[in-house]
Amino acid sequence: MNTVQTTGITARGQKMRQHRENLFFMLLFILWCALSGFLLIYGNQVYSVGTVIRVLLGEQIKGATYAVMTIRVPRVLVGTLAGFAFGIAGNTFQKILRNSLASPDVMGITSGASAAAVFAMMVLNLSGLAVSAIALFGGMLAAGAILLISRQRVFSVNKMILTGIGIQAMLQAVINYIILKTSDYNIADALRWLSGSLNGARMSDVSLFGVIVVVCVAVICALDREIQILALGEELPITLGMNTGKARMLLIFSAVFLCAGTTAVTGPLSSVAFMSGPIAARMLKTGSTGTLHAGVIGAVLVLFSEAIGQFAFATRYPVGVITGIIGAPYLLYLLIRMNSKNA
Amino acid sequence: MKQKKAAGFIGISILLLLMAVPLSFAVGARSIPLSDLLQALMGKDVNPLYLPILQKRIVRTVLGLIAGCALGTAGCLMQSITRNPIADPSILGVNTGASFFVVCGIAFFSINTTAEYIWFALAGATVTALLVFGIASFVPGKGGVNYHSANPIRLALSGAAVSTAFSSLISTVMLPRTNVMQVFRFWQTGSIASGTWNGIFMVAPFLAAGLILAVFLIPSLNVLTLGDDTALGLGVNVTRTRALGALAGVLLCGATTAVAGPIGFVGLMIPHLVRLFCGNDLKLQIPLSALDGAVLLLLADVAGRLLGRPGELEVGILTAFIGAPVFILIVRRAKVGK
Repeated sequence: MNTVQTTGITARGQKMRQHRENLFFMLLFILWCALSGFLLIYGNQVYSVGTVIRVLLGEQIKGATYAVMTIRVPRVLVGTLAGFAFGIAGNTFQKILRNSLASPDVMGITSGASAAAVFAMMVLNLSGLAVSAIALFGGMLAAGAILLISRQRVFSVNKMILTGIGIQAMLQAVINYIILKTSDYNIADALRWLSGSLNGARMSDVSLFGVIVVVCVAVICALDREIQILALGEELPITLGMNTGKARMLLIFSAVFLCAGTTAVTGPLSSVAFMSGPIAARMLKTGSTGTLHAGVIGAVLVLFSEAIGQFAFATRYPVGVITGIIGAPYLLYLLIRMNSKNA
Repeated sequence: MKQKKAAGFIGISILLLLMAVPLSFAVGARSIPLSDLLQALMGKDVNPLYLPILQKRIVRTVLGLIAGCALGTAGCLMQSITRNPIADPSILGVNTGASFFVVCGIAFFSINTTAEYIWFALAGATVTALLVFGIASFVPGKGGVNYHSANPIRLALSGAAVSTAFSSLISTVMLPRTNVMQVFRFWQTGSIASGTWNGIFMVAPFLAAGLILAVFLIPSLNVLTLGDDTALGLGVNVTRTRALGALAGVLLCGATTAVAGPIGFVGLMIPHLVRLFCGNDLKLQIPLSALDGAVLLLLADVAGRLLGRPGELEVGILTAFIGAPVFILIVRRAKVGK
């Protein structure tokens, strides 16, 4: 009798949580649609909703087709994918390392990708896919180095974060050196890319980038249960009979791949990876991993920042500058909150 | 035994300094043979080509010496007043803060002399140092600031966060202005290559004030290492000692940043090295940190000239490359919680 009742309550609770998750997902999706619509309609030239829809459906309209299909659509798509990827990569790191500061941008993995990309662009004079490949490699290398160096008998997330900060300082020195030696002609481009921008987005990037994002996100979603168990702590997952090493490695690998791959396309959109996860967690409060929610929040953040960067000021700012300005106070807030918890 | 170790360390430091100075005179894109160097220094006639080169290198060497001194001392001060093994201007984001103020100065107030740079850099360093320590030790609802809560991880992360904020702001100021961009990139990397006597004389009073203050604080800082309560019991004004120590540290690294740009990690590495050989007494630690800071900076600069041929590798890049691994080592050994 009693058990039946309890099961009923649990089931109802689960249903309510599921409901809450779906509701927030819908809200975020609507927000994303609104922002995308805004970015497609507004620009140097404002087109009516009808025109944009007709262009999207394939109609040829003089001027509008070029502006919308060649410039605005790729920008929105790349921004969405980048936000989605950064959000999910950050969330995965934060969940399995159980620390909201343990995100790839705080730990210097994005810096690895940036340093490699700047090297490829400025020193080797490469462009396009080659730069992306090298950036990806650089990000993986940085992540590998951090993992390898911070491996100790007693694993400590804090030490791992600090190691990352140290490696980041070194990579920053490399970036500064390359910038210093670059010809005056290239420097504006390099700095723009280093702050992260959607300006260079092209339709040809979208397909490959999309495939990478989808594959990595699929892997992370498939391991959703493992993330939940890993989030319980060091010992408990082992007691529950899980091979923690393998699952953790696979998750970290996909998250790093996601993060480095995105940096290769857009540059480091600072703070997106690190903000999305905690926002998702605060919104949901259901104990789920919130992977997809974090992704959509990331996409919304990027598009929102892009809109601000384009229209709010007299000069156009690359999106990464705006995300950085939004992210820094949030990081400080998080630190202060951490203080009040521990003290 | 301990004393022997310390004496050996001091001896080696002095020897290295005596080696580093002539090396810094001799080595570069165009090296000067040692015999010619001696002749030139004694005022005899040598290849006239050497004179302008030598003049530049002497300025550079002097700047390297005083910058290294200042950074080593500043690091030592910061580590002892915060009782934190990773306190260093570069980790704490103080350098980025100084850079940000300078960029704002160039962009909005069209500053272009060393004197103006110094004031802006000093202001930036002070504001950032206060901000970072404030955030790291701020505990809401518990009477505000609490020094004990500023453990290494919190300090490093606050520094990283403030750095991120400032670099975003730097980009915001800089991206629309191409002319600032040209000037500024030389501000992102520390280098002693473009020093002038004028600049050195300009910062000398600030550095001297910082160093003198540091020397006078040695006894109180020594007591402070025993813990706040003990220090208070022994009659040390803890708050004032900390504040003056921080002032001295900020003067030293702010003024150095103003002439040489952000040179990181010297202040982090040197005090640790000194402590390894000479123990915790600040009477030895502060002067030796100054001495070895100078040695390290000069040797790094010479190495940069050799490695970067035909150009050169800026000293700020070299110190970051030596310093970051040391930072990681220190972190591995430090207690930072789980």
